[in-house]
Amino acid sequence: MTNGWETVVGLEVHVELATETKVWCGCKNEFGAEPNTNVCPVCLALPGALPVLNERALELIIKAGLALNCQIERVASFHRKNYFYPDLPTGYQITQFDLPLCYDGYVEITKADGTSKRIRIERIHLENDAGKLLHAGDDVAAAHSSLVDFNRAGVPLIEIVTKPDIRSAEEAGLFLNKLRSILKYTGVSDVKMEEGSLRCDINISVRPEGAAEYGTRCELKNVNSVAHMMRAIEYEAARQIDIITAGGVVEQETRSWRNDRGVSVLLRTKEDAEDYRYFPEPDLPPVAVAEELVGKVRASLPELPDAVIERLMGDYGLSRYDASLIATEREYVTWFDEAVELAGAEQAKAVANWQLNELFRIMNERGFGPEQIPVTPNQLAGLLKLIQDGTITGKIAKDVFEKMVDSDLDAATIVKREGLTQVSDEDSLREIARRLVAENPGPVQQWIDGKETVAQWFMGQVMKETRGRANPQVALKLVIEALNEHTAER
Amino acid sequence: MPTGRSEPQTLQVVIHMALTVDDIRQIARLARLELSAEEERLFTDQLNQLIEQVEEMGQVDTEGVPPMYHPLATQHIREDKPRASMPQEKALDQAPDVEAGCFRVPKITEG
Ligand SMILES: [Zn+2]
Repeated sequence: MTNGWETVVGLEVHVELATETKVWCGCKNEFGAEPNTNVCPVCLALPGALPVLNERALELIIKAGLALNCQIERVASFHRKNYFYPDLPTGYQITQFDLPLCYDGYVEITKADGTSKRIRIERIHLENDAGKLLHAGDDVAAAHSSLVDFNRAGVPLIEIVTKPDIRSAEEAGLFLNKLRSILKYTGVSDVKMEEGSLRCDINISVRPEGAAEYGTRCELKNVNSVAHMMRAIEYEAARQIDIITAGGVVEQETRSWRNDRGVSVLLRTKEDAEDYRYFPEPDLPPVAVAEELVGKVRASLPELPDAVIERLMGDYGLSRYDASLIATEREYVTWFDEAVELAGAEQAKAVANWQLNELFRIMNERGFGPEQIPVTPNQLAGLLKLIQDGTITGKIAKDVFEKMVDSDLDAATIVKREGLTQVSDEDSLREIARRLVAENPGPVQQWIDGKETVAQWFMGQVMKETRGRANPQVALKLVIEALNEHTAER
Repeated sequence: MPTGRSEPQTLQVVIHMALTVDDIRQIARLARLELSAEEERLFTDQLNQLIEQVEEMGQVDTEGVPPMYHPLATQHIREDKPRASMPQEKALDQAPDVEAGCFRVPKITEG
C-alpha cells in the first residue's frame, strides 16, 4: 500500500450458478419467488431424502474452471461441512474438501497504467447455498425472532479461492470485475450482485514492503459489491497498520464488514474459530468427470475477455486499457463489432472513442446497464459517416449523439431536422470573420503585437456565431485572412 | 477453509491418547448437546471403547492402497429439469412457529 507497507489479499468468491434447478434436487433455482415455495424433502432435509447431483451444475463449474484456466479433477469427491445455523436445514453444507472439481488456474488483470498481472486461482469447488434469514417486524434491532425462507437452500454455488496474489484494493477491484465478466460471458452465472448471486470473503494481511513472510491475516465476511470490497480492503489494511505502528500485534480474527458505517467489527477470534469437522459425504459417491464432458464444455466456451482484448489490440490497434474496458461486457463487444462492421475497420478507433467517452459517460449518468445501450451501432455508423464527409463538425456530432440517445432517429435525420449541417460556405463565413475583427479592436491589437493564439480566439467566436456549425479549418483560415487584411489596411 | 487440492488422505486411525472429559465437552458443545457430569463420564468411556475397536483397522497394511470415499465408485447425475416442489402449507406444516410464509426461529444476532 503506502508508507512502506504492503497489503496482501486473497479472495473467496461465492457465485450462484445459472441453473434451472437446485444442485441436489429438482426445485427451481429462482430469485424472488414466494417464500418456501421452491422447497422439497431434499432441500428441507426431511428424513430419508437423498441428494442427486444436477448435471448442469457440474457442466457449469467445469466451464468456470476452463474459462479460469484451471485443471479439472477427473474423480472429484464431496464432503460435509458441519455447523448449526437456522438457514441450514441439514446442519451441514455439502461441499468439497481435498478433491475440488477445479484447481490451479489464473485470471489476468490489466491495470490503468497498461501493465497486466496474473492472479492465481487455487481452487474452485461446488457446494450448496443456505436459505435466507429475514428479520421479523420492521425494526431489526427490536425483533425477537427471525424468519427463514428456504427457497435459496440448495441453490448451486461455486466458491472460487485465489492465492494471496492481490496487493491493493485496485487490484482486487480489477480481479473481481474481470471474474464477473468471464462468468457472465460464459453464462456460468448472472452475477447479479444486488440479488446476492456473487458474494465475497476477503483474507487480508499487511507487512513491511520487501518482507518475505506474510503478516497475520484477518478474514472479512459479508462483502457484496466491488465498491464495498475495495473500501473494506482500504479500511482493514489501515486498521492493521495502525495496530502494528502503535506497537501492537494483529490477532487472527474473523470480522464482518459493515458498509453502512464503513468499519469492520469482530465476529470471532482464533480461539473460538469454527470446527467444521469435514468428512466424506456418505450420500454422494464421487463424481467421475469424463474426458468427453470436458471436451464438450471446452468446445462450448465463447470468445473470452482476454481473447477479445488481444483481437481488438491486434486488429484495430486499440490500447490494452481501452480494449479491456470494451471487453468487460459481452454486450459492449457485440456493439463495438457491429459498429465497426457497419462503419468500416478504418473507423474502429473512432468507434472505440465514441463508445468509451460519450456512450459510457451517458450510460453512467443515466444508470443504464449493458443490456440497455441507448444508441444502436447503426446510429453511430451513420454519425461517423456525416463527420467523415464533412457534413457536420465534431462538436455538433456530440450534440447529435446526445439527441440519438433520446430518439430512434438516425444522425442524418437529426442533422437535417435541426439545421446542423456544417457551414463551409466561404463567403458567409468570411463576412462573419471580417465583422468580428472590426468589432474587437483589443484582440486585434494583441494579434498585431504578435500573439498568435488570438486567431484561435477569433475562430472560437466564429464557431459561437454559427452555433458550432462552421468548419473549423475553414473558419481559422478565414479569420487569419481577415486579420491580415485589417492589419494591412492600417 | 480447505486449501488447494491435496493428495487424497489415507484413513489414519492413529489415536495416541484416549479422549478426555474435556474432549467430550468440546464435542458436545459442537453438537449443541447439554450433558450432565454423569453423562460426560459415561460417554467418555463409551467413545474410548469405540475408538479402540476402530483402531484395530490401523493394523492392516494400507501402503499404496488408494482411499475409498464411498462404496459406490461413482454417482448418478440428473438432468437440470424442474420437478414439482411442495406447497408452502405442506412445507410449513410441521413448523413450531410460522409467520408470513416463513419458519419463525429465535433471533440470531451473529452477522
Ligand atoms: Zn428441493
